[in-house]
Parts: sequence; C-alpha cells; structure tokens
Amino acid sequence: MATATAPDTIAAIATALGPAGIGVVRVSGPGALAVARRIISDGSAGGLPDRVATLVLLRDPHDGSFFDQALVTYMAAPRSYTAEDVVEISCHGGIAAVRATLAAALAAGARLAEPGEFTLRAFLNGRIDLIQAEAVADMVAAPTDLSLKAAREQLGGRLSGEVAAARAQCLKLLARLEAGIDFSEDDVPPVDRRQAAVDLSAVRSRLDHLLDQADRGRLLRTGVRLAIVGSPNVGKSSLLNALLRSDRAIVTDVPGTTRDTLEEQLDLEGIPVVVVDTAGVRGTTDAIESEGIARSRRALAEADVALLIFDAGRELNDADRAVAAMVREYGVPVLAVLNKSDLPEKTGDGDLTALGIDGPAVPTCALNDAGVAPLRTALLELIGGGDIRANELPLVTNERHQEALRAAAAHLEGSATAVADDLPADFIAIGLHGAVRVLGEVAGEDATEDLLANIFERFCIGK
Amino acid sequence: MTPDGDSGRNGYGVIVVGAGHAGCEAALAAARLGARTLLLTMDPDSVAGMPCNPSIGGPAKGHLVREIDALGGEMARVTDRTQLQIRMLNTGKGPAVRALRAQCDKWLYARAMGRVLRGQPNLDLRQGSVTGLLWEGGGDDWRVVGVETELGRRFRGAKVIVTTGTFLNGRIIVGNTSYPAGRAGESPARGLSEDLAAHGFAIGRLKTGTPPRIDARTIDFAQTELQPGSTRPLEFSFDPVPADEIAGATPNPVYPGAERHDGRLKMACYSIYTNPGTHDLIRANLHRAPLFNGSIESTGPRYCPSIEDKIVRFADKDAHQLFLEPEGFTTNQVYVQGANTSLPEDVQLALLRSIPALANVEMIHAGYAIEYDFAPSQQLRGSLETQRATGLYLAGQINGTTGYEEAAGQGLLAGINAALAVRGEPPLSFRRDQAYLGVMIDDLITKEIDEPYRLHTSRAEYRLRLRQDNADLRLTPVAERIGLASESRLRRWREKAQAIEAAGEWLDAARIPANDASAAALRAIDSAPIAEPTPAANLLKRPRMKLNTLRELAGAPPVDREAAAQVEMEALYSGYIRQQDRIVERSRKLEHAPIPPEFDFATARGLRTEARQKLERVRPATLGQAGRINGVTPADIAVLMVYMKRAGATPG
Repeated sequence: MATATAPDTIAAIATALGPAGIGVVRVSGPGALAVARRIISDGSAGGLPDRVATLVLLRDPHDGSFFDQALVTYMAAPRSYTAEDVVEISCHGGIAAVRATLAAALAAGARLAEPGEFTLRAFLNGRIDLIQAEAVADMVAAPTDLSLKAAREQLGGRLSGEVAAARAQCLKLLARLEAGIDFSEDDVPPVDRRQAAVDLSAVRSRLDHLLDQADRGRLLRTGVRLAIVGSPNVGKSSLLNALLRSDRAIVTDVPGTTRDTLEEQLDLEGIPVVVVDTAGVRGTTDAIESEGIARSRRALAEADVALLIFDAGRELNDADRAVAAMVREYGVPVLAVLNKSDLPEKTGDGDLTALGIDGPAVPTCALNDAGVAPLRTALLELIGGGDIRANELPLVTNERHQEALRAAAAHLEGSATAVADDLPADFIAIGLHGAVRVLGEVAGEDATEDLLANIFERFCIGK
Repeated sequence: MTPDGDSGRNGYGVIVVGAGHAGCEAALAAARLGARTLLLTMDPDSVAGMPCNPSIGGPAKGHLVREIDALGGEMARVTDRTQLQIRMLNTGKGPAVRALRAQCDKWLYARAMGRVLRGQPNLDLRQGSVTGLLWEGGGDDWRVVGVETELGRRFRGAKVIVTTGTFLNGRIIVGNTSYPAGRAGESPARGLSEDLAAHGFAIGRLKTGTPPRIDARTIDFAQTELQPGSTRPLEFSFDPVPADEIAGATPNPVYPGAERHDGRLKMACYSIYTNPGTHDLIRANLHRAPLFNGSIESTGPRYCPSIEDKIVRFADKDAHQLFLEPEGFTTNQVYVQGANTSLPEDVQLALLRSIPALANVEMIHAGYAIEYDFAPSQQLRGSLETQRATGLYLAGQINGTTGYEEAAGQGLLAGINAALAVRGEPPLSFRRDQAYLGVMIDDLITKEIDEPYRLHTSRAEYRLRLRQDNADLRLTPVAERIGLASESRLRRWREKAQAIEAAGEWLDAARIPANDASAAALRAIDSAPIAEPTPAANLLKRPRMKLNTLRELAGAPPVDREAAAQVEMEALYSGYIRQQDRIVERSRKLEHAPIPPEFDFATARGLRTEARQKLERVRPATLGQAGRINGVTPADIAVLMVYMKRAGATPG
C-alpha cells in the first residue's frame, strides 16, 4: 500500500565493531525513551533529563539481570540527529559488550535499523538536505581522517553554499536577458555583450575552481590502489611491513579479496591507499615463478600506481628485467625503489634507466626501516596528493556533484560561444538555463519561478 | 437527451457564460464543432471588450494568438481587421522570441467579433446574467446540466463553460471610494461564486488595475515622442482576412503621425516620462492610496504594477516611461500605458498634469483597481473541465489568469473539449513542447496562482520550438483532425508544409558549384569561398546565408519566402534546439515517474507542511508534475522519490 507508515523505533550499533574503549548503541523513534527505561536500572529509570549523560546499569529486559554499566544520553525530538526522540547508550567497547546492549534494546521493543536508516530519517524529517545526507554516507565510509574532514565540511553545507552562489550568478545574468526578451517594450536596459562575457567567465572560474579540487576530492573519498611488484626476494613484503609499521592508523585486512593477493590499507598523510601486495611468492620452481608473474599482472591491472622494487645489493637479472617490462606494458605510474641499500651497491639509477625506468629510485632498507619516510614522501608526490594539505580542503568529493558541475561548465561554455558568435539573446540564454537547472539539481529550486522573481525584483516592469 | 445535446427548444449541447475573449472563442469553437451552442452575456451589444489596453500580442502572448489562429480560433482575424498599429517585437533577440503586437480600435474590435458571433450557425447569442448553475448528483460527484439567470430562466445544456472574467463579485476601488462593478460602468455578476463555493469549490480573490483614459484634445503632442508602428503590413492570421474587411476609417485629425501604408491606415503612439515632481506628488499622497493604506489586500500582478507601486519599489529611478495610445481611429480617448493607479481621482489628475505634455490634460475616466473572485485553477483537469463537477468547464480570468490572449486560448480549448465531450470523444490537450497553450494549461493545473497568471516566453522550456512563425505547422494538423480548420486555412497550411518539405529535400541533395557566382555570394555574407562543389545544406549553416541565394546558384527557382525562412532556421538552429531539448530532458528524468493514485500524501513524513497541503490538493500524477507545483521543493521531490522507491521495492 502506498502510504507512509508512522515511524517505529529503531536501534543499531553506532560505532565500529572492534576492539575499542567505548561502543555506542543508538535508539531512535517515538519509543526510544521507553526502550531505554526497560533496559536501565530502576533507580535512574524515572528521570533521563534531556541532553544530560546519566550513568546507569544496563539490564536484560527478560530476566532483569544487570550486564554492564553505561552512560545514557536522551535527546528529545526534534533536537537530535534524526529529529526524533533519540537515546544513545555508551557502553563498554568490545564486540560482545556492544552486541549485548543492542540485543537488550531489541528485546525491549526496538527494531534493528536498516543500513543508513538513521540518516534517512534525518533527511525525511528535514534535519539535513540531500547533499548533507550524501555527505553522511561518505563520512561513515571515510577511510582516513582527511576524508572524514572533507565529508564533514560538506555536511556543514559549504558545497551547497558555493553551488548556490554560482547558480545565483547565472540567474542574475539570465534575468537580464529574459527581461529584455519578455519585456522588450519596458524600460529594461539592454544586456551589454562584453559585460555578459565577463559575467559568464566569472561563474566559469567559480565552477572551475570547484572542479579543480574535485580530483583531489575523489582521491580522499575512494583513495588509490598501489601495487608493489618486483622479482622474488627483493624484499617486497618486508618493505610493505615497514610501510605499514610506519603508519599511525590501524591496519585492517579487507575481507572478501582474493585469497592469494593480500590487500592492506594505508593512511598516506590522509590519502587512503589500498596496497595490493604480491608477496608470498617464494621459491625457484617454474610453477611458483609463473604464479608470481600472474599475480603481479593482476595487481598491475588494478593499480593506480606501482612501486617497483629492486635489490640494490645484487646485479639486475632476467626476472628484474621481466617485471620492469611488465610495468611499462601496463603504463602505470611507477616509483622505483632500490631496497637493501645498506648493502654495497651493485645496482644503481643508471642500471634502471637502461631498463626504461625513470629515476631517481628511492633507496630503502626495509630491515631497519631506514628510507621509509622518504618513500612515503615520494609516493605521496607520485599520487598527486602532495598539495591537498597545503591548499584548502576540497569540497567536491562526490561523483554526482562533480558531474553536475562539469555539465554546468559545459552549458556556460555554450553561452560564451553564443556571445562570441554574436548570436541573439535567446541563444545566450539556453546555456544559462542549462547551468541553472543542473546546479539546481545539486542545490536547487524551481528555475522558472526563481527567474521570474529575479526579473521582477530587479527591473521596473509593467506599463 | 440526444448525443448532440439538442433536446428540444431549450436544450443546448454547450452553454457559454460570458462573452469576453474566452467566451467568444469557446462559443465559436463549440458551435463550429457541431454542438448547439448558447452564449449568454449581460449585454450582447458589447462582446469581446477590452477594458484595459486595446493591445493584442507581445512576447508569448503574440505566440499564443498565432496558436489560437492555427487551431481555428478567431482572435487573430478580428485583430487583423481592426488593428491601428502593429509591430514585430524582439527582432534582434532570436527567431523564437520574435512577437507581433497590435493596437486595435477597441470599438471596431468588439463590433467585428460580434459580427462573427452573429454569423455563426449553431450559435445563439442571448442576453442573460447567470446567477447559478443547475446541479445534479451530490457529495463529491456533481454534474452541471445547465444555468439559471437572474430573471429565473433556466437553460439546460450538456456542458457549461463559465467565463466570467473580472465580473464575479467585482469591486472597483478608486481612492476612498469603492463600489460593486464588473468593469467600469458595468454591474458585477452575483450569485455564481457563492453557488460554486456551496458546491465545494475553493474561491480566491485577485486584483488588477487600469490607468486613466485622457482626452486627446488636451494633450500637447509636440512634447511627446512619436512611436510609429511597422510600415510593413503585418498580420496575425495564417489565413488572412480579405482586404475589404480591414478597417481604415478617416482618422481623428487630433493625432499626429497617422499614415497610410499599402492602403492601410496606421496610427502612431506617443511616449512621455514622469519626473521627480510626479514622484513627490505620489509619495505625498500614499496615505490615500488603497494599495498602501490597507483597503486593498488581494494580490495584483508583479508585471503590471501600479504607478504608485513603481515609485515606492524603485525609489532611485527619477523617470518612468509612459505611452499614450489612442484607443481607436476616431475616438478622443487615449490610454496612458504605464500609469495603472487606484489613487484618488484628484491625485490622478495632478500626477498626469505634472508631465509637460499633459499640463492641461483632462481625464475621460479615472484609473481604478478592481478586485474579483476566481476559482484557483488547480481544481481543473487538463481539459479545463473541473475536477469536482462533470460538465463544468472554466476558462479565462475566473482561473486566475490575466490577458485577453490567455483568456482566448483557454476559451478555445474549453470550447473544443466541451464539444468533443458532447460528441463522446476524448479531450484535446497539448504538451509543453508543442504549444504555449500547453505550457499555460500545464502551469494552471500544477502551479499555485498567487497573482494573476500571465504567459512569458521564459515559462516555455522548449522556447526554440515554439515559434510564432511555425504555429500553423505545429497545430493546424490538430485543427484538421478535430474539424476546426477552414478550407482556406487548410489549403495555405498544406501549401506551406509542402513547400518546406520540398525545399528540405532539395537542400539535402543539392550541391553548390565552386565558381565566381558562389564566391561572390559568399563574400556578400563575409564567408569564405568554397574550393569544390559543396552540399547546399552545409552552406546554409553559415550565418546570414539564404536558401534562395543557394537555389539561384544551383539554378533552381526561388521558393516561397516563409518556407525558405523555416528551412533556414532549421539549418542554423537545429543544434541549439537539440541542446535545449537535452537540457529539459535531463531535468525531466522524473517527468513520467508515476505517483500511485492512492498514494497518501498526508502520511508521508518528510514533506514540509506547505508541500504536503499542495500535493494533497493538486494530486499530481507524476513526479514531474509534482516538481512544477510551486511550494514543492526539490527536497520534497527527493522525499517522494524515497517513498516511490520503497513502494517499488515492496510490491503490493
């Protein structure tokens, strides 16, 4: 039936499952307070003051047994994330403790929330707009602190503001053109073509600025895939371990990947990097060799960048040459590494140049972590994320927004061409209409009514 | 009752209430489509009146007049018979926004329309003030089966079209004075809005206004600027009226600038400017202005503000342009375009006299504001039949629109659909990419009317397609299908369509030789010469190239100018037309996403209260329609999308 049913009360674990000090179970809906009362100690059940954390004992609603101690905060509607009554239960961390709390909340009458349902409710209740809802999804999935910060800026509405400003610029120029068309006998000053060209390029640069940041924005959201390749025994695994050891972030295995390639997640100065390791290939039999090559190929096919490792302590062999040829074949941007740089150098930059690999190579010694810091820097530069921290944080991290901005820019290009080709106002207006519409999809409003309102505000029309 | 609605002496197929621009078109269309038609009006001697500016056309409005004409309506032909000045506007702003605007002799216009009505078989023009409708059924299922006049006479009719203009409980306001009136000097229509309200219709109130009329003999024309019209003969109708039907009496000698062109008499208009003295005078009397002292609360149109409103809102402007427009060939009565006002009469006279050309002016009658009842148009179907009552159609200002052209367009469509319904045929409607008429009707049934609705070209997303020069190509086939196009109209349309087709075929095949003649022709349009024989179609894409120039170069005889113009525009602008289509389609991905008829907006969380109320009232059938309702924001649409998506995920 196509009715929108009254909301029920939902609960879910709001923090990541895993070893941590605190776990939060969030309950939202009209019955949130009732659910909370059923699972907390009688002593505090009477009063859960709004927006005050209260220390309580948690009990199993079935048998009344206490199983944990928790801080409970009640946030009355509409001053909560979902704009519904919300209770947040901060219990002890750890998988078992948090699950027990959730189970108690479910036993007390809450329903397990569907993925994203809290955000959906916040959106349906008008707490956040569509851009913000998307930003929440990005935040939840944010792999690094910097990704999180970019998503948070978007949640704060900075992108909406920028897009709305660009759209307002378009509307202003469009209003002048349309007033001249629809009220041609009124006292409407004609649109100066030179001024129109200036105005158009002003909006363009605003959009271009946003778009310039977009690539870096995507880098933050989805990260890059890095392949570590090299012939057997050059020290790929130990180099990877050194890289991971140097990483402040927690490293977790990403489940569901192929059994024989290991994927590791690395926080490279804020840029999420998925490392596809081809380690584990050892030995000298032909079968194992060819298996190693197949893995390297797979890794290179998926990678955005590659680390090509050589053993500085021995001369180049056929295997090194084969891997180098393979890297060139895939055309992946590559950073050469001369590992075991503590040994007397038998292979140097000159040898790599002969292989068609651009230097200079980064010297490392994975055994003692030496050279790992320069490697991180060189890698960051290769990825192109070096200037993210230096510049302002990118606003556009989302593909949908990026596409809309690109379409708007293309429409404005059309208007600029119409101005340059000396075409009449009607044709200049087409691209502006297009830009207003696509920008409106990101931030927007009804274009026609906005336009008319804009015309009447600005011009004395009517006879 | 027999299918054609003729159930004897008193039984009509279609009854039209009111003989303004909507009523005349409605009655003519219904009668021409074979319905026995009654047109009831308070005064059969004054039909198709122009209580405001006697001007027809302008951007979007002129397009609409041509569409009415292409569909077999009458407005264009009556305008052509009685125009005293005509101009093509927007000539430099693009082919799609070019628009005709004519000034008419308002007395001749009314008389010419009256003649058409009286000569129309199947149509009875009768005096009568309708005070109520004849209803059958009850609850939510009403049927209208006729009308009752103030004298108690009842007329039965299968379909009733109400076109009462500003007459429903009209009230005129000038300064401190206000009195019931339908127009200056005419009684309002009473009873009908109460009857509609009693049967569940929402009734609202709107305001419009008109400027003072002044005596031409008291104008110092030497201090005005002459505004002549086109010296070229221009016509609205695709089916031109015979020369001997075109008015051209000896003009009143008081007006300078009248000239004859091609045997037709063309008069001028005159422009003047207000000055700081005028503005000071208005400001000093704002406390006596009904718009500002609270005695008018209803909303007037933003595009037609009163002079006092303009002075207040645009305080930094120290001059506003006004136009003096003769209301006919022989009359002394002159319309002061731009000086709408409901200020007290003494202030009106003083403000006019503050302008040098009008220093000694006398008013024939004062400007006034008028408030009237209307039935918010979201209560209509796309056919203009009401949702609440079968057999009842509303057209014109009663739907909250303004403008003779907007009224005539609705009247035509209501007349057609009433007659089609009598014949048992489905109603006619137009898409937004097909006609300004389609844009207007779709706006009316989806948008909240909070000021009198006027068409603008910017309301049309597919503006490049909806040109005034191709209205016949777009719509005359429809008129042919329903049987509303005259023989001569069909012949002209066929000739034009065939000429365009032939010219297009020639263009696709022809090649232009690279010789001295082609080099010279290209040089003449500042274009590079060609080195080898080149497809004519490619050369026509070059700016300023003409089809007939290419034909001459290829040794082909010239084609009709109008057909050539259509082919030229197609060649030059087809890329832009496609771009425009893409822009609209892109944002219209939701256009056809259906909203289930049983969807309960009331229980949909997330919709803002305003949006929920409007959605419940309009009950849009698609997300596209929902999006066009003003007050429904993209956020509301996103909310609806969530529900539609959920409904799709869980069938049943």
